[in-house]
Amino acid sequence: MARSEPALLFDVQGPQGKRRMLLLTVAILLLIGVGIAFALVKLGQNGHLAATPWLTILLPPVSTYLLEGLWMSLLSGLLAGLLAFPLGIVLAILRMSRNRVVRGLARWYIEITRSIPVLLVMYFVQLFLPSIGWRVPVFWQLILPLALYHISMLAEIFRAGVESIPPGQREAAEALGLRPLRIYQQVILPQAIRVVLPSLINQFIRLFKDTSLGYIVTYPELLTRGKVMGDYTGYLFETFVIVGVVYLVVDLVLAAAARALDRRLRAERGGAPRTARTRAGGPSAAGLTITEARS
Amino acid sequence: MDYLVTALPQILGAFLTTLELTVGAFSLALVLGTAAATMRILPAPVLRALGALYVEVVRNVPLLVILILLVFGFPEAGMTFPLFTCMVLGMGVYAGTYVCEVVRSGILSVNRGEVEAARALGLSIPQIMRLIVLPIAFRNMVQPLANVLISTILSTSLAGSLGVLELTGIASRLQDESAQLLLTFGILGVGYVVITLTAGLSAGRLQRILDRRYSVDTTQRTA
Repeated sequence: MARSEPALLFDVQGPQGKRRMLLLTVAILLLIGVGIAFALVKLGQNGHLAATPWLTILLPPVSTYLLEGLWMSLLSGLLAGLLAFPLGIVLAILRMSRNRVVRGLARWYIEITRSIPVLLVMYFVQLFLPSIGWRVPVFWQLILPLALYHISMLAEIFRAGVESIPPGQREAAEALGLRPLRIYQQVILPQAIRVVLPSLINQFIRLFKDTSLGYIVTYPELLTRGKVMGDYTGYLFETFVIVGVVYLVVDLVLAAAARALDRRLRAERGGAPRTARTRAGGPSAAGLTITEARS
Repeated sequence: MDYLVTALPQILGAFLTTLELTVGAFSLALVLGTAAATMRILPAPVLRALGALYVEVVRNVPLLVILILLVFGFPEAGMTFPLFTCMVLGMGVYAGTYVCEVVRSGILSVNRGEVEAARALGLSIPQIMRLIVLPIAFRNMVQPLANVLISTILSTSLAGSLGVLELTGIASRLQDESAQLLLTFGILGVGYVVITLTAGLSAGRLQRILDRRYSVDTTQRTA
């Protein structure tokens, strides 16, 4: 895909085209260079190019404090995810229920959580619930709103996965006399979850980024600790740049994992011999290829 | 009742602030995203890499970190902007990465045959873009762009935690009247639903209009 992109609009460039592109490249690089130079001068004037502030943040007392924050970020993300995962599956199944009322309610839940910011829900938990006498611990002030929101996201992902399984799978299971729940549990879900694994990782990246909202309820995760250390050392700029880089690195690693998994799943599907797939209808292989080709 | 009389004007003001933030951030995102997407499809490796760098870096950092860097970090480095500008800047730059991906995949989704036909007719690349690729691509972009718009609307709530009195930030301002908090949160939630619903519905309508116009075009072309 990536290699065929240029071919869509452009032939191999002639001398004139090459010259134009070179000019454009140089112009834009110059523009960016001027911007960077300006920023560097500003940073230098304010003493942010010296080694001390950066080293202060990057060396043990501060950096271990921040790394513990990263650990707590990952942990709260994992916990919210573990909470949302099964509930997301349940919500997806309700969303596809044959009962109109159940389906409608599930749809409403999904639509509403998707059109109200998580932060508002957080304030609700933080400000309203105590007023009726329910004090929620800080940790849950972060986890609960995140889970409530990501349940909806996961439900939509699972639904897409389930809908990508060809109807023949369900029909075959019904013909075997399996009950609806068993069909989901033993036939549909194992295949569907495989299909959506890369999307699940990408959703976890979003969830991990959302744990930075812990800053708002002062749960001591990475960003909150960044603010604390920034205020303490007085190097706010350096701290937040480093905090940002840490988020970036973790997310990039996770994203790379999602891509690798996706490639591997695709290869497994594509690698299966064609005849075997059509004739035996090996459940995973056959079902998966169809959706991939269409999407 | 008394409570509503005092609170409603504030909530209405907050509602407008949310709209202003959204319009500002999304406009900036459209400009940045389109520029980055253009760079990512040009036959110039350096520009492509720059576009990709922008998307990969900005998208993988939480928006709240970007905003906090702008609000607390940049002033230290001698670059102070008004709070509202910081918010629009941060959200615009962040949403721009999503716009970039939408625009790029919209353009790449155009059938190669259409482009080849246009080239065979001797159209120049700007002509191909203007007359063939962009009209088709734009129809494919309406829904995904609406999704970006909706997440931009929701992300403006982060400004509330940094002192902008928009639809979410106003909640902490109004918390003194604790007896009415439930009502307040109800109104605020409805406010968001109204904005996002309007955005989603208008996108649907725009899509239908474009589809209709496009189908007219095809009949003219074949006739």
